[in-house]
Amino acid sequence: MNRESEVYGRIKSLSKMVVNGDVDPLNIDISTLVELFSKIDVERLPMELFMEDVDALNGLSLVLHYQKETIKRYLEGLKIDEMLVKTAILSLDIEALASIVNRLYRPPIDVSSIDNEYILESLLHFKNIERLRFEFTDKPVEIGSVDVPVEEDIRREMEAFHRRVLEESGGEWVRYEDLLGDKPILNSYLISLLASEGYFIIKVDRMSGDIFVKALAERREFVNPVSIPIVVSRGGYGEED
Amino acid sequence: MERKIKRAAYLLLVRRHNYPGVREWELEKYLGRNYMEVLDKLGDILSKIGLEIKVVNIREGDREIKHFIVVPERRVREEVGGSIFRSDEAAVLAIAVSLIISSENMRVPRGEIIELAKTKLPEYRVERALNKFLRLKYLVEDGEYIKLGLRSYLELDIDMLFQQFTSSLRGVETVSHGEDQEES
Repeated sequence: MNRESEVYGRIKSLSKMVVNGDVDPLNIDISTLVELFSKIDVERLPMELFMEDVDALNGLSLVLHYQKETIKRYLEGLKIDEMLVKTAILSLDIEALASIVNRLYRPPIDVSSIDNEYILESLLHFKNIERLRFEFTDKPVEIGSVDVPVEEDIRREMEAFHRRVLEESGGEWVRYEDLLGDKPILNSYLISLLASEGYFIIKVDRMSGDIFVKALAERREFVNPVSIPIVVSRGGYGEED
Repeated sequence: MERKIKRAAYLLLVRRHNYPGVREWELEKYLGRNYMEVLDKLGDILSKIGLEIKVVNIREGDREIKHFIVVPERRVREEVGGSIFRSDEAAVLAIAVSLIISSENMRVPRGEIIELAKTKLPEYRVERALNKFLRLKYLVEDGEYIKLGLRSYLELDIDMLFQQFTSSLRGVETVSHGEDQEES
């Protein structure tokens, strides 16, 4: 192996170690590498070494990049000594480790709003989701979209549902689950829409978690109306649906 | 200015993306180049109810983007307390975040986190907690490595991690000195 190839090999392997996190980039004396690099007469290099020269130059720039990043993290207070961290982890018990996260936790303030327009948008979105069924062959079989009426029918559906619940319940409290019937998706939307518009009132028994719904004969104007959210995504903002 | 302050409050508080808060370019777009002046004024108003505007630097590829969010003041948060995770899960997150922060390239092999966390918890619980934080985007996978996810940057005061570790260690030292004295 000639001298140039050896220098290139050394630089490339060092840069690889830096990228993999096996070496602290600040432990690398970049000036020595640059000096070695600059002594090579590129114009007299054979073609195969020329490509190695390009690779090594790229490796050198990567080392410089990681050196810059590390210094930046030190300055921002983000870089912590690895030994200190490992010692701390081994010394602390679960409660102490958990309390570190709890002390660091400062949740962003986030106002989520929901209205009838949003609920209808969700309904349209849900309506347009193609349902697939996987058979034994693992081949997906299309079984059509969800049978839920969309915007032009929803007002009629709401009126019919309100009338039916009012008649059947006689204006008394009814369990939410009992109202869902054989069309739980459609009926849950209708309950939410009717409650948002003041035709239904909803109460939650905090002890048992049971939800009750009462149909009102007349629409009620609420002083402080509360939106009834339909949970489409159950996770936080980062979670997959 | 008053209109701009109201607009800034809306941008910062009402979620318009998958994540809370607003990016620097959006503030420039809706508030103009002097958006920092508007944010300062809004910050004065928010401080009266124990909130403050926090700037988080988020790396996206080669670029670093400033992201602005509203958070409770640290003192208020400490006074109210509470936790959103179970202790064992929070401990795994503490181990993962601190290993990533102390690593050379802000990423750690998954196996390294598990090995260290296994000294505290059974492996299946470590795996379960890690998968949960990956799903919730506090952590993200990069091949066999694990890096910090957007939620960690937004929700955790990572710049305080060093201080928290040193203060926790001081607590351990104090206790162990006390025990030594008792034994002697």
